Amino acid sequence: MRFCVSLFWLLSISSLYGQTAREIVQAADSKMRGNTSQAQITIQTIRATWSREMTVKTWMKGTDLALILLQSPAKDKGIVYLKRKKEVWNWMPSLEKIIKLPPSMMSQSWMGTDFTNDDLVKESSVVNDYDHSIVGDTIIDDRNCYIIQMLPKPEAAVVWGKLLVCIDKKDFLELHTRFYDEDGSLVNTMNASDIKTMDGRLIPTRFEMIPAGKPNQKTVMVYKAVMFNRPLDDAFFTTEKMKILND
Amino acid sequence: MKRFLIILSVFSPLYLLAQDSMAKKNAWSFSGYLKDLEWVRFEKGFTNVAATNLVHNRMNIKWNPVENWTARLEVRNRLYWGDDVRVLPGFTQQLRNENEAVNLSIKWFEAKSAILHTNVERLWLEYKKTKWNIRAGRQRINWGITNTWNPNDLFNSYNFLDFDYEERPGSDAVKGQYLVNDLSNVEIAVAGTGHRPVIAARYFTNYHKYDLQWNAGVYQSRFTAGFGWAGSIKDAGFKGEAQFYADQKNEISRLLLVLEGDYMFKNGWYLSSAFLYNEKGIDRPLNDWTQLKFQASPRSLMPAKWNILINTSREFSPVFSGSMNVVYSPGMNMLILFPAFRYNLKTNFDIDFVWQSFFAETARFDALSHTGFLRLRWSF
Repeated sequence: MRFCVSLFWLLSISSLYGQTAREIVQAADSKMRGNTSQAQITIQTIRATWSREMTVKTWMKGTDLALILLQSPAKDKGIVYLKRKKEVWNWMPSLEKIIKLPPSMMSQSWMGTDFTNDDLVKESSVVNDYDHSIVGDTIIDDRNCYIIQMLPKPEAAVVWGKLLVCIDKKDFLELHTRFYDEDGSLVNTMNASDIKTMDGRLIPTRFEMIPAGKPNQKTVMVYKAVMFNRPLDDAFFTTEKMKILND
Repeated sequence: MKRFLIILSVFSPLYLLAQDSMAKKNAWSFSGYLKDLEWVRFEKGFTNVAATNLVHNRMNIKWNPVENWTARLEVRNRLYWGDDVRVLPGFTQQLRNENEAVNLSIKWFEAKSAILHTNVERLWLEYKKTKWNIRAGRQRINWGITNTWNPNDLFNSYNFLDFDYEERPGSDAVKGQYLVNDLSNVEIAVAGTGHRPVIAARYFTNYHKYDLQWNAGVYQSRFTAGFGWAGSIKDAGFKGEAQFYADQKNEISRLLLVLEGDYMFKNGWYLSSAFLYNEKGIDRPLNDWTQLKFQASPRSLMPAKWNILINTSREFSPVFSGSMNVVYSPGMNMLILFPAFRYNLKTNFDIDFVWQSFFAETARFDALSHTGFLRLRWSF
């Protein structure tokens, strides 16, 4: 569960050619977002002594509408999560039942991965809910990057106390992010790599989320396929659609 | 299994769902599991030990030849052996779901302490258009909206203690659905139940962040009407169901009501509580507990009149989770403790440890029985 929601966050990390910190973040955000997106993603949860892999398909429209279909492992195949604004439902195919989830469920990590899912429901926007400032430059994988500090606006309902984001200057790719809590302690580090052209866009296709202070632990998310801006009706994101997504 | 795989490979992928441009569909899909469940039951004082084993297989086949048509066949095979088969009265009879109008079950063999039983759990055909669909055959009509006890589930009630039956029972029915708009629909269903039919309609909608539903119909010759909702108060889930039956029969409930709340704490603990009022349930201590039955029907989801459930669960790690259910029925003074732990040994292999203890008042409050379950599951 935790996983899906974070997935949304990652999917929403966002191109414009502005030069203010805010515009750079917005450019990076829209790079990964699109008006609509559909993706096939593999997610690996890695711990010291074991690892597990799952595959999901996602459909998203704007920040309000999202569907996630679990395709593997066998036991979870066909499970669907639907988000409409602040409401989230879960379709359990074995029970043929829709379960509405409490809003508090959304502040949790998803399916045991190192992603938190707050941003799925809380709707926090990396563009609107933060104040952005360029604090330096760095080089990641031979790419010149801005280092941008993001501090949440006082009224914003966000889970983080601070974000440090490294965005490639040429292609506006978010390649590295550090997530800090309200006390200023590092919580998670995200690394993006394997930059490829998918559906005509140059994007990172591999994301690693590494929790601070937990050696040998990480979650790796790899985009196998992604499509942007194909038409998706709002009616695609309904509880009835959840039931037949796997048909 | 092999045969199905061959069938699967013969049919080429179909492209369905115009909107879902990444969809690559197989006309056939096959899934299921093989489980082994061993349980040991103790009478109070941990005497009279009875051990029983169940090998449980389920195979699900879905056929989706063209966009508008879907068919499903799900079969459950169970091989029991051990003490409970021998000593529990009516053990083999209760393997058959009385709610099913047509008998699609086979007893392959039956001995004094063993039985092999197969039942067709789902067998339906569906025709689907954009605004409406119709499904006929053995199916599950899930009208419940709360998590544990579902008075609105008029067609196929289940017993929440039966944790090994994740899919829950179905019924032999014809169901039509019309989509009024994106978030509202009407369903009408008719089911034969082995006794008298159930005919009912439900309207479902979403309004102001609340899922709302109303139903009305005839349940085995009695008029019934109900209401259910699922929403939230602040960050906590708030759900409920009520069902009313218009008849004067004294021994069965006219009103069932469920209220439920759930919340996920920041530290990962999930807490849910439910309250069930079952009008004609038992509200005094019983003298003879052997008569107590947990067979659920829409009009009797629990034997007791007042029931409170507290459930807490937590994912300790992505591969290890646990839960604790406590049910208390005041009046009857009955307590059920139901902890469960699950460990994912490797992809597709799970091991579960489950415990159920029953306590109640007769001469004094005492344990009735304890059962420990150990389950291995391979999912495919």
